[in-house]
Amino acid sequence: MNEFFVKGMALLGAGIAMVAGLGAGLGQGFAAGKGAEAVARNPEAAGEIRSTMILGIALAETTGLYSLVIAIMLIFMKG
Amino acid sequence: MDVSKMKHLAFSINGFDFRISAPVLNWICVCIIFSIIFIVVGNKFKKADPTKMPSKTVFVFETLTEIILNILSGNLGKYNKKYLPVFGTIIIVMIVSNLMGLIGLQPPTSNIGVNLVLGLLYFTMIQVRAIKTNGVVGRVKGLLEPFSFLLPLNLLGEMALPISLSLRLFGNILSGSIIMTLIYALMSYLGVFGILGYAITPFLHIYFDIFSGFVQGYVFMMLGSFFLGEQLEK
Repeated sequence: MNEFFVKGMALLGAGIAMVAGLGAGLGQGFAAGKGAEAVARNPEAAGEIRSTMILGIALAETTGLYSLVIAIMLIFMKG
Repeated sequence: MDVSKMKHLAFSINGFDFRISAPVLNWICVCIIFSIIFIVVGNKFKKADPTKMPSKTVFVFETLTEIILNILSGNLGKYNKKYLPVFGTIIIVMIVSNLMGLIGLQPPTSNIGVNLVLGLLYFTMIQVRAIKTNGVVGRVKGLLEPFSFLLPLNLLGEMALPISLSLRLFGNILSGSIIMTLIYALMSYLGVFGILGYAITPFLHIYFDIFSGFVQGYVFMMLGSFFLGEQLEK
């Protein structure tokens, strides 16, 4: 269990952790699609729909950011 | 001394070694500068005459206060004047400190400690408000709400709120500053051809610093006021 093994495994783990970006991208794209549809259905409420959509998008990004924080911690502490 | 690349400030008093990292120093400077600005503007508000036309600074801050009161009234109802100092300060200071990546300084929210302190502030505020509304016994009963064996899950949900709020802010701003650092390092590695990189860095700055900074500040304030509004009286 020498240090090169630990270093390699840490960097590999950091790469695998970023697979969680898939969920974040899908969720945000879905929310944006529904937002565009809502604006098409009701163009007068575009300002309100935009605020709600941005709020929902920033929330859906959270789990992708958790995985990013873990990957950064692995790279800078063990790699 | 290149201020933008300074990692931390190290000094020792009587043998105790202190190390303050650069984002925390920027946070202290931002707090001091905004304290002075708010005290000066507050004095101008007190001396302003309601019947005459307002001066420039009074007008700007008055418009800002109206906008924030409108946004808060959706969540807090009639308590928005009471909680305006907390949320107004948080959104203004946070937007300015997220924009510091444009100048080249490290933004204060890229340090994990600053974000966790803000999360702790929200946690304390929400718990104290919940105890004031329901009393201590009522609060514990509220935690046992649907079924009493769900108590650990409810407690975990209460703890998860400030952690998720602070980690969202931390991850967004830190990743933005890391990506910009990598791009500038790539530009300096390419030598002469790195000059072409200056054609795309403004757009990256617009997305990572300006857009992300504004959106994250707005989301932080909205979520805090939403969870506070849950604890107010109906």
